[in-house]
This record gives sequence, C-alpha cells and structure tokens, in this order.
Amino acid sequence: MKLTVENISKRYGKKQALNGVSFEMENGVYGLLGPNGAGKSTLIRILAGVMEASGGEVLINGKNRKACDSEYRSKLGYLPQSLDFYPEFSGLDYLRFVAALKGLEGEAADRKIQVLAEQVRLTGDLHRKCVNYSGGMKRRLGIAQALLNDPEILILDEPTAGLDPHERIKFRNLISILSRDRTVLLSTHIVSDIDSIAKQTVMIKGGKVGKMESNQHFVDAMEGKVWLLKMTVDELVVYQNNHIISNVIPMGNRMEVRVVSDDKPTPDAATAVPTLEDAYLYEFSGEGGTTV
Amino acid sequence: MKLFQYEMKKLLFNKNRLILLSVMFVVYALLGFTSIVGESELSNTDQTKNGRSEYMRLVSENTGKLNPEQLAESKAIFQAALTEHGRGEAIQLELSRNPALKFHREYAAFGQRVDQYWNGPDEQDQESIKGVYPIQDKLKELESTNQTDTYEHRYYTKRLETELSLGEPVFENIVFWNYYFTTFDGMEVVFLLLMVLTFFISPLFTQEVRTEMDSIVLSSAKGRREIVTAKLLCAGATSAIVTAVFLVGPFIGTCIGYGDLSGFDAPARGLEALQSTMLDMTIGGAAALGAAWLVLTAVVFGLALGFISSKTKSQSAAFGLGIVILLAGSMSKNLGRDIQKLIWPLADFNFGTLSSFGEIFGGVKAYSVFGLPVSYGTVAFAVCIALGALAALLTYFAQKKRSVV
Repeated sequence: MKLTVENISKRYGKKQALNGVSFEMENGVYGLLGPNGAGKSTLIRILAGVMEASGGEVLINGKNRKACDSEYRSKLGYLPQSLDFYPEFSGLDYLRFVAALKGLEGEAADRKIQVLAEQVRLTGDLHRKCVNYSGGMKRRLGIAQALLNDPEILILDEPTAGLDPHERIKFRNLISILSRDRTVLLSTHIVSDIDSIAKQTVMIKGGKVGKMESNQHFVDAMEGKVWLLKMTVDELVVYQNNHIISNVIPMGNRMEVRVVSDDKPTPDAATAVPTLEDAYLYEFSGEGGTTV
Repeated sequence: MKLFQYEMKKLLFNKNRLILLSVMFVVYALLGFTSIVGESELSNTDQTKNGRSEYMRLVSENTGKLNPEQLAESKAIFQAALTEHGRGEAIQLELSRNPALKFHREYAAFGQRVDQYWNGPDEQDQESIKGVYPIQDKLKELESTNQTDTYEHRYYTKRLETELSLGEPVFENIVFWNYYFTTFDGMEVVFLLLMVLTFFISPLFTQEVRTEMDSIVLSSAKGRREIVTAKLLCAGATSAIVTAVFLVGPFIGTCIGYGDLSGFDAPARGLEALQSTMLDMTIGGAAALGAAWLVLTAVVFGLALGFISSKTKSQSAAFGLGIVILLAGSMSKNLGRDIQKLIWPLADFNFGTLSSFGEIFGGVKAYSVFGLPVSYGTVAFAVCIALGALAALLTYFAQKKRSVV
C-alpha cells in the first residue's frame, strides 16, 4: 500500500490553510508534527476523505482516491481530533453501529468488538452509556472504532489527547504492533507520541510541509545546536525571552538550562545530545527552522 | 438493516423520545375525548345517557332517504328555537340541553344538503358548478355551442356521472365518525402532527454534526449511500409511527367519550368533512383511505425534513426551516384568489394542503392532464410520490457532496 499526497492545497475563503503539500507513505507509522493551527487537521481530513482539497490529489498505489473512493473508505480507519457520542448509545451500541457503517455485522462484528475492547481496556464498561465515559475512555473508544475494520490505512488526529501516561504508552505499543502491515499516519503536537514509533515524520507549519524524513534525520540535523548551561533563576527569567529553551533542571541554587541555538550561547556552554523535541522546538519557535 | 435499527434508536426508540411519544398519545386521546364530551348530550356519561338515547331514537327513526314531512317539521321547530333563543350562545346552550332540537337542526341541515345535491348552492362558483341540475344545464349549454370536444365538457360529464352514481345523500347515525374526522382537519394535522414530526426528524443528520460523528460516518465504507438509505427509511418509519399515534389517540379518545361506532358502512358523503366528495366508498373505507393518505403525506414530509436536516448544521436550524416551509405553504391559502391562481402549485400542493384529507378528497376539484379531467386526489398522489423521490435523491446527492469543515 502506497499513499501519495501530491501538491495538496486548501483555501478557506482568503486563508490558505494548506499550500502544495506533498509526501509519500508506505507501511509503518508516520508522524505529522506541527503546532496548533498549522493545518494538521485540515490535511488529515482531506486524507480521510471527509473534506475536499482545493487543489492536488491523494493517490492510492498510484490511483486517484476519488476514482476508488468506496474501496479507499473500506480500507480506512479514522480517528478525528474531537469526537462526541450519541447520548442514547452504550459503548457496545456505538461500536456495533460503527461496525455496521464499516460493513461488519453479526458475530464477526461482536468478536472484533470484544478483542478491541480488551485492547483498549473497555470490556467492563461496554454496556454503560458512552456519554458518561471519562475523557480518556472516550478517546479509547474512539481508537477502538478506528480499528474495527482492520484498516490498511489508519489516520489518527491527536489520538492521545486526554489519555494518561499509562494509556499513552499502551496506545503507542498497540500502534507499533498494528503498523507492521499497514500505513499509520499520526498527527500530533506531542513529540513523545511519535518519537519512538514513527518510521518517518513530516513537520507542518503555516500550511506547508518539509520533506518526510526519519526521526533520526531530524535529530542528526540538530547536532551542535543543543547546549547545556547553568544560570541563576534571575538570569533565566531574562534569558528565556529571546532563546529557545527546551528544558530546565534545578541544580542547587542554580538551574541547568537546555538551549536550542545555532550558535554557542555562552563560552561555558556544553553541547548536549539532541532529541526530536529539540528539533520540533527549533522548527516551530520562530527562530531558525528549515521546514518552510 | 443494522444501520436502520441504530438510526431508529437514535431518532425514536430511545427513552426520551418514547416518553414524548406517550405524552403525545395521551394528548391526542384527550383531544378526541374532550371534543365529543363538549357536546354534553352525546357524551358517554351517566348524566347524559337519557338525552343521548332520545337523540339516537330520533336519528334511527329517520335514517334513510329524505322525508319531506319530517324536513318540514324539523325546519319549523329549529326556526322557532332560533326565534326564541337567537343565534348566539343561548341557542348553543339549548342545543346541548335538548337532544330533540339537535336532531331537528341536523335534519334541517340534511335537507339543505339534499337540495344542494340537486340544485347546487345559492351562489355558484362559475369555475366549478355544483348540483345535478346546474351541471346538466351546463352540459346542454356546451353542447348547444358545439363545445363537446373540450376539457370542460369532459369534466362536467364525468362529474354528472359520478354525482348520479353516488346518489342523493341519506340520513345516518354517524356522530362518532363526524367527530373522528375532525382529526383529518388541515390545521389540526399541521399543528398537532407535522410540527411534532418536524421536531422528531430534524436531528436526522444534524445529530452527526452535533456529536462530531460526521467525520467517522463520512469516512466509512457505508457512510455515503447506505447510511442515507437507513436514515431515509428511519425518517419514513418515524413519520408513519407518529402518524399512527396521531390517528389512534383521537380514535380511542372519541371511543371512550362516545362509544358507538355505528355508521361506518354509511356513504362517505354523509360526513360533514366529505359532503362534496366524489369518493364512492363507505365511511369506514374513507377512514382507512384517510389514514393511509395521512401516513403517505407524513412520510413524504419526513423525507423532505430529512433533506433539510442534511443541509443544515444544527437541529434548531433544521426545525426552524421545516416549520417555515410548513407554515408558508399553509398560509398561502390565505392569499387573495388572484395570487393563489398565480402560485397554484404552491397553494394546491404544499404540505399543509397535501396532508388535509378533506381538502384533497372532499371536493370536486380536478386538473386538466392532456385534456382529460384528473381528480385532485390522483394528482396529489403523483405529486407526493414525486416529492418523496426528489427529496430522497437530493439527500443522497447532499451526502455524496458533504464534507466536514
């Protein structure tokens, strides 16, 4: 399965939400990283086929999505950014309804629902009204519905919003397992969601994307741009106004500050091993950045 | 089928909606009950049983064709009562106290209907002449001017044939049915059924927007076509069920209030609501046809509401638009005759008019279709089918083009 995004653009009136977005995906987890309002959800909606692009096309194995729309939708699992539920439905009703929407009925649907409920730890709550679920439970129910049809293409928009750290790790593991034989696009602004599992990541800013690269590529590109230095709290208050600071650790009466910068910030600054989070900050903090 | 079941659960078969439907049933039954007990001498209560049996005796003694002697007596008695009590509240009070006077009033009115059957009303509408003799005169006039191969001639020939085959009105005990047929009154249907339906069906598609399920529905394999089929079937089924409640509620209420269903096999023309009908059927048949017609028009209205719901973002917008369409159509009847002639498709085939059984089947209106007279009912049926099909097609198209913003 090869999913190609070719020169996609989207306008809302005068606002250009996406501008010439292109990349390719095959099996594995792909990250779509960007701050709020960058155009992630717009791109995700276009890929999920629930919004029309103003220009460009989405290709499935070289074939235009619109030409095989029904087939595409049968292979797709989608979790939108925000999701609410029918007030009269229990979790089980909801999953059965979505299963029916995906063409899965009867025992096959029930078996799949049981397996997924187990995976997202909702087995004991399936008969409760889903409007009474906690935020995390709702999100887990949303993840379960996206997986009902064993999708070859899984598109997840901010999937971990509302999940606690334990649930977040479980979710990451589940996606890792699932990604062996399918394409997963995971949109997020939380770097740790994709840090360890994404095969490649594309960064989006102001409706434009850079090249789809491996996370290691982004990290390597940050070599010599991450620094550790020590300063007092008073110095830090002034310093943070015009520098990108990715972390601060108290060390006695001083602070160890992790700074992302093209140049060595102070003579006594030591280089640090960069992370994807540093790359994200570098791209999206106004200073520096190569994506756009 | 599964999708249809879940759509029904969302729209109707859930606790809140079933409670609302039960309340509606009680309200409908109460309306049926109170309308008949309001006429105290007819209600099924101990205090009025004697009065009712006196009224029933007089009716059964005079059932059948017009008796000129009885007509003269009834006219005289009722005229005397009018002279004594006037035409205001006093005569109404006397009518509710005096079952014999009520009978005489009805027999005098019956005599007038028989007279109109033969001679037509005092003031004729020249575009639609009524009465056997005036129609015969009109046909003679057309024949004398060689207008035999015209729509007008074919129309009046057909009218005359029907009038003669239906025959002169007969007097029957049809009290229950006269009360029950007020259920089919146009305004009652608009306010008590179609507005309720608008409330029930307006969330059909808008609930997907409210719950943000739109994205999941639209990205699913069956989210563009099969879901629309399920939703349209659901709108149709909900319309039919709510209509059934609307029809059964007053029936039970009227039964409790009166309890005598006699007259169901009398000619439909005996009913006050269908005095001029061209339907050659019994009152029972007319009630069945009326029920079927109301279900049909409610289903078509439900499909139209489904389309409105698919084009709006919130339930209140869908509800408001549904009400505006409903009332605008119904109010078109209040416009001047000249304007009505200009906008006749809207005036004749809006949902308020279409759902009024008496309006569609109770008169002599006909349309020229390729020069042949076709009854209002037949044309209205074709319009209903066309509107239903159009609403369904437009809804499929809307869902195909629908996107999440």
